[in-house]
Amino acid sequence: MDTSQLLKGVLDLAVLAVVVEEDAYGYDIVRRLREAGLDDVGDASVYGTLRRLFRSGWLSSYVVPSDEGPHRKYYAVTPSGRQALSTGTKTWRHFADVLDDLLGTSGRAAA
Amino acid sequence: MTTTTTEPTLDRRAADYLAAVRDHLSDLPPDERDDLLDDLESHVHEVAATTDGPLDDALGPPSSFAAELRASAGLAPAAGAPRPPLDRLRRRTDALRRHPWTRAVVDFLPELRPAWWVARGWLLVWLAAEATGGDSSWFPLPELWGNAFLGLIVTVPVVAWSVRLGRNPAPPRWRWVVNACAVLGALVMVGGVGEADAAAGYVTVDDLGQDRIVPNPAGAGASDFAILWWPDGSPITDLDAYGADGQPADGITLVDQDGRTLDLGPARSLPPSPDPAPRVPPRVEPGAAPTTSTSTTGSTTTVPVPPVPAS
Repeated sequence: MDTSQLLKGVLDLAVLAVVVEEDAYGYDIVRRLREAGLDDVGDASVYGTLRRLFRSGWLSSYVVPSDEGPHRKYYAVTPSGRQALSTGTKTWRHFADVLDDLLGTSGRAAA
Repeated sequence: MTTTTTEPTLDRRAADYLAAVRDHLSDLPPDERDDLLDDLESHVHEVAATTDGPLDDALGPPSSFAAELRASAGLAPAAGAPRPPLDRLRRRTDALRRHPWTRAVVDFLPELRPAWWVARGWLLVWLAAEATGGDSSWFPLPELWGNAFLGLIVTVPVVAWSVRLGRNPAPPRWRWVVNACAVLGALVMVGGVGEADAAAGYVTVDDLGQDRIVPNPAGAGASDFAILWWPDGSPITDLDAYGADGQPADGITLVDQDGRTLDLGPARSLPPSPDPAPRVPPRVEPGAAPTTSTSTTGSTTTVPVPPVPAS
């Protein structure tokens, strides 16, 4: 199954999880998501997601001038973003458990 | 980071890619689009720094990048494809914009800005000089109220002020007024100098006492101040009228083919010619009807018409 389809639904959570760990700018976020194992994540998807989360008030941003090249816009998770991340994490755990069970059962059946 | 020699191409690749993405987001509200792109600028630059190949390989084609951006940002997908002729036109202008020659010119333009700042200050004074009626005999010094020295004294601080305005990182909004005045000054100057400069083909008729521009059919140089020409192209630089008694006749009125009066100005008080033959009045076009000059005193002289030369 295509990972990018799965990713769509959880990219918000993944981005929030990366940024809550440490404030980061877009390029850094893409890199950290890939390092974590989400190889298929698209640059544009991350930026679109950042924009949407920012509009929802889950992320705030501040600009840091860079000596080399254009300035960097750093993102930080807002309190409402933390709230969303915590709710999202619970939803995901539940969802993953359900799916694990389902796959476990069907997986055994398929074996 | 890369070496300085590869940086321009690096920046250029990033700028081109961003421009292409921007094109695909052209239907979005400007604020929305700028927010999206503002963020991407540093990203695309950083990606460009890590790869030598085309950015399409690293980021995908700009069209799909833009589509992915829209989808993940929760924005509407692009409204229908642009109409083909418009699309073709846009592609052509894009190609033109990315042409190495266009780039060379566009990259060079910023270097000309200091020169423009200096020229702008000077043009502003020039505009003032024209407004105060100064002529351009001291070109390139503007003459304020006809005074070139005053023009010089004013030009220096105005140029300094213009340069300071140009170097201001946050230019005031009224800067366009200053630029517009400078452009106006340039237009006025081009017009004024063209008038004063007796360029080939045009001469000023000072000898007639009138500052009038007359086309020079012989294409004579600037030194040939002429009002009439012999058929062979040699200039007639002054006209004087003599009475039947061989004395200079004052008050002669010459009229052109449209009935307009030529002002001869004061007659020259030439000493009588030692030549026994009286000075011959200028000939008119061969074959034309005899010309009659009527003086205000009522005496009439007839200018003989020369025979048509065999051509």
